[in-house]
Parts: sequence; C-alpha cells; structure tokens
Amino acid sequence: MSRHQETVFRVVRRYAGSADEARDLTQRAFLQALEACERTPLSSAVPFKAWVLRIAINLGKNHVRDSVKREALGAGEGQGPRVALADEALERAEQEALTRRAVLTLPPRQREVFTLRIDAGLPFAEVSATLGITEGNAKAHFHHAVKRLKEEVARLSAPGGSHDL
Amino acid sequence: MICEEVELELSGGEPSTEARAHLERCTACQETARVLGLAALPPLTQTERLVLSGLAATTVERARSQRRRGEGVRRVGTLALAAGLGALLASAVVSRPAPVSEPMVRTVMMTAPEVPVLDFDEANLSDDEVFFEVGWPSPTEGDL
Repeated sequence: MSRHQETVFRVVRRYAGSADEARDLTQRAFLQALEACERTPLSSAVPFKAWVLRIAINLGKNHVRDSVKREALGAGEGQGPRVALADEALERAEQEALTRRAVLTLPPRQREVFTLRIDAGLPFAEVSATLGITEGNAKAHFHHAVKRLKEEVARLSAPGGSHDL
Repeated sequence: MICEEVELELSGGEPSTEARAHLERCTACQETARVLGLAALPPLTQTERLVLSGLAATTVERARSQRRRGEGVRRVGTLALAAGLGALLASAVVSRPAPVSEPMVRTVMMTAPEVPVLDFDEANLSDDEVFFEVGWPSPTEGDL
C-alpha cells in the first residue's frame, strides 16, 4: 500500500476539495481494493496498482458528482488568502481554478487519461494498462483532452467569456 | 519534431532539448505548455504529506477492524441461521397432528349370573306329560 498511496492520493486530490477529503478517498479506494482482492484473487493481467487506481478514479468521479461544495475545488491549501494576492497572481489563480474545473468536465475517458498522466505522473504505457486501452489510444485521448482544455481556456480568457463551468 | 510529440513530452518529465527548441518557436506548443501548467495541481503541501505519512497504518487497521466485524457478522448470521433451523424443526414437531387414538376398549369383567339351582323332582315328571301325540290332519279338516 505504501508503494502506491501517493499515486492514488495525487489522483484523487483532483476530485477532492481538501486534504482530508483526498485522504478519505484514498483510504476508501484501498479498502475497496483489498476487499475486492479477498473476494476475487488478482489476475496477473490486472495488477493491484491498476485496480486501486481505477477504483480511486471512480470514487473521485462520484465524489464530485455528490459534492455540494464544488467551489472548494482547486483551492489549494498553499495558495493563501486571495485578497492578499496581486492582480496578476489573482488572475493566474482564477485561471488555474477554472482550468482545473474544466478538467473535471472533460469526457470521462479523456479525463481519466489526463489525470493519470498529469496528476499521477504515470507513463502512457501504465495509463493504458490501468484503463485497459492501447497506448496509442491513451495518447489520442490525451491529445483531445489538451485540445479541449485549450479551447476552454481561450473561451474563458476572451472578453465576455463565460466563467460558469 | 511535430507538435503532438512535443505535447506528449510536455505532459510529464523534463522535455528534451529538441522539444525545448521546438517550443521556443511554436506558439501553439507554448499555449499547450501554459494550459498544462494551469491544469496541473500544485505540489503536495506539508499538511498533505503529513496526512499521507499516517495513511497506510490507519487504512490497514481499518481493514482489519472491518474484517473482524465481517467475521462477527458472519458468525452471528450462522448462529441465527442455526437457531432458525432449530426453531423450524421444533415447530414442525410441535405442530404435527396428534395421532388418532384408538377407541378405548374397556374390559369389563363379567361374572356369570347366579342361576338358581332348580330342584327338579324327577318323580313328578313323566313321559306322558312331556310328549303329546299329534295325528295327521284329515283331508277335510279346516273346510268350512
């Protein structure tokens, strides 16, 4: 567990509003994975890491769906009070928050590939193994995700751009 | 190097010299780098690292307690099942219709009635008194 906990934590903190929520989601992911291991022995085709990451992604997705505190998303603990930030930094922080929210609105497969690659830092080979798709497919999903995010950021940065993600 | 390759390199790790050279002259890839920078989460904070440090121990402990609870529930379930089966069997035995009892035969000891001993005086009886002679009817007997 110690070997994979940071990777899982990095994935779920994208969906969580705080460190405590991320911890709870990580713990639940491991508990469910361990429970599943007891019920059905792991096959060599699906390593434990892939299993627990899949569970973590699903839990994160459900958490976002159920959460009523979406405003908290993207508000990192290290950012400090926004009023103290300079205008430029404030704008940057806003853009970061909006872009991070835009990640959560990506189509499921694109979002999964994106978070596993960017948040967990998995190589594409591992991303594809985790999601049960080919490496080329994972790269294509990543490309489409980035393209979509760029469009979204451009739309938001444009004058009169809607901020209601 | 094409933009898609640079994009993949920008997604993780340090980009190669070739990718960096491409990045310097390609505005599309610069925008990609900017967006990826905006979308990426900040590094783990000290608090998050602290949370992570104790996570494995608490998770293992919780898994054990869940397992114990599960075993307890299973044990109670087994006992309840056994008790239920016992109760079912007992009720089946109790509610079985009572066998129809055979009609009670009362044995009555009967004693022979006392028969008065008749004292026949053989001297008073004669064969004449006992037997009568009956003749055959005449062919006309009974005619009106």
